[in-house]
Amino acid sequence: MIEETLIKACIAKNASAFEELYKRYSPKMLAVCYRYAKTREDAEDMLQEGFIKVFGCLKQFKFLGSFEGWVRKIMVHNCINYLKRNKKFNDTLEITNENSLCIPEDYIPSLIQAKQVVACIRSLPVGYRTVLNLYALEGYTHAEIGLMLDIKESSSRSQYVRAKALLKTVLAKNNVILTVESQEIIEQLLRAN
Amino acid sequence: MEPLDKNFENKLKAHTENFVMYPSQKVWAGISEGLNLKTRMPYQKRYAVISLMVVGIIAANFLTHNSFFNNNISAANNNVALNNVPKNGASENIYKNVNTIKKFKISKITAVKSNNTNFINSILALNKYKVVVAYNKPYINNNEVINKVKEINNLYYNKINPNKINNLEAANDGKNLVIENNILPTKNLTDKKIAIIDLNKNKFETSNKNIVEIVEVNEIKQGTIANNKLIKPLLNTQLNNKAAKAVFKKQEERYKTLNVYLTPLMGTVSIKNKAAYGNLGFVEKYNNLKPKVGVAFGMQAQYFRGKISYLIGGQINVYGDKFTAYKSASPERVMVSSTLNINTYRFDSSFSKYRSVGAAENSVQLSNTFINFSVPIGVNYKFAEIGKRINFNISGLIAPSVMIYADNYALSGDLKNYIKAPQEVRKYNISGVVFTYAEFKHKNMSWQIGPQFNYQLLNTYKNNFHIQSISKDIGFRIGMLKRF
Repeated sequence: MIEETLIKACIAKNASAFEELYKRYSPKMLAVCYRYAKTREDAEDMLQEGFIKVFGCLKQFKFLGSFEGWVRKIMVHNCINYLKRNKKFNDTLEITNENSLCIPEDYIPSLIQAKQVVACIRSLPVGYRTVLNLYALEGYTHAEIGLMLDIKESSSRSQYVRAKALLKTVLAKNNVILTVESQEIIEQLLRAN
Repeated sequence: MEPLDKNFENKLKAHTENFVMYPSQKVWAGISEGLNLKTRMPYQKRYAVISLMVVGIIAANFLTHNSFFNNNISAANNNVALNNVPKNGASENIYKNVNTIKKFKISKITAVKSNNTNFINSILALNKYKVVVAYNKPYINNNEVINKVKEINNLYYNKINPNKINNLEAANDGKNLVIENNILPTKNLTDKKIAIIDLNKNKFETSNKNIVEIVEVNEIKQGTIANNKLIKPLLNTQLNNKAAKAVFKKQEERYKTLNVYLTPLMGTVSIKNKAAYGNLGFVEKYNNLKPKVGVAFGMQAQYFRGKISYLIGGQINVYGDKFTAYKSASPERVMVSSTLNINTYRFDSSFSKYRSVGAAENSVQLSNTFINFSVPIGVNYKFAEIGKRINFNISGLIAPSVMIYADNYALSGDLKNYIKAPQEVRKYNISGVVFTYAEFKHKNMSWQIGPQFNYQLLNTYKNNFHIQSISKDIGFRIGMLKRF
């Protein structure tokens, strides 16, 4: 079923269409949620909540841009709010001392590189990884991140700088190489820091 | 700084973009449950069902009152009836002036008024009418008829109606009705005379005026001419045109009433949390039925057309419920609402010192109070009658309402607290109402009593509020009705 037809079927409350749409996008969206969540269970909660919101406001989708992008936007907003509601974000936002960071062994899987990178991102404190996710992976500006997280734009900027530095450290510590080029950049940046 | 690092972000993004994870089965189960995909009937469907019911009742009313559906008479009966039609050529000309035939009603007596004598002759030929009142144009000036009138008048006063009650009372008592000149309506008396049918002699006699009015007594006193077993075949044969059918379509009893009523109510409020927060897990759903009490007071106008009537009214509803909360030492920050609109995605918060669970010593009683005004509109069907004084009815109504006053608490998003939420109550709502009642007539007034069921069709709260609440009531309606 083509995407537009599927969406229209969902708007018409077709139960099988809901399931089809869910199957199509849930793997990617769970990966998005997973980058924000502390545990897989949290990520699944975020995903579930996010999809209900997606289905709830499908009528607002105007078929102008990418549907996946639209879903992803809702998911990301939902993840942020989930963290806010659970006070996980605010409680840990101020953790800035990377020396105190302890990366559990199970955070460093060796299956595939993507998984390793995600695991490294997730090993960051929630405040760091949230800003990093929003800025580096979702493409929000610091001004937008400031509004979303109720923090100053400058705080977002500084959090990101620290998050990035910490991530590089974590990646290096775990021998995770993004690419040759990026590794060089990382090394350059590490030297610069 | 940022532009220099763009490569890092790009590479990071490239490495995470293809990362996928497969959720466990319980996620879809939760979504499915959250959306109520299988069980919940959308509001649109509810409206459609209710609308269909209303349309169905109106259509049934139309069909049952349409003469076309009432005049299907068998051919066998036609022959019997036609044998009684006079052989004076009247049948061919009976309905030429059918547009001048006018139907009207005298209390319980159905009558037909016409200036076409042939038509009257045909009706009279059915030989079932005991009394004919005639007036208007001169027809027969016959002393014999006048004498007959006088004779029957004497009979009326001396035997049939020794107490000299008026004719309508006599008719209602099931006695033969005799009408004389001086008890006819006082208007236009100058050209009114009386015609009398003598059933025993199978003929009728009339005064010196044209017969224009037939008053039925006994046989079709509570029915109509069109439905009379003897007249129906005649109509079917000789009134084979729309105008004639229109004239003879079923005579409905039409009247208006004004009704004042009071309905004590008790019921339940079902509550569902659309999305829960905190440690209780996602989409914490529950149905909590809370008892509620209330009272409705209203006034209702009703227009009767036979057994069906249409009603509209205004009603004030006051209702509420009480529940136990547990006071905390200081106000706590609680989540209140969310909206599903992506452009205004937000969470609000509030403060509350009332917890939903707690120690018994901290318990306090809180209450919710609502006052709204509704405009019930609907259809009533009189489905049974016992004699003239008691009848039974069922009504279906739609009642749009506007909230006038709300002082209420609602559960917070994490279900832990009660929060003041009158601002979250939906201003306009709509309810479906079904009530049955018995009506007792006493002198000029009627009394109504019977059970009433209300079902609120829309959520008590606004759509973006996390609590969904639907009210269901049963009440006992006591009303007083005046007929006009």
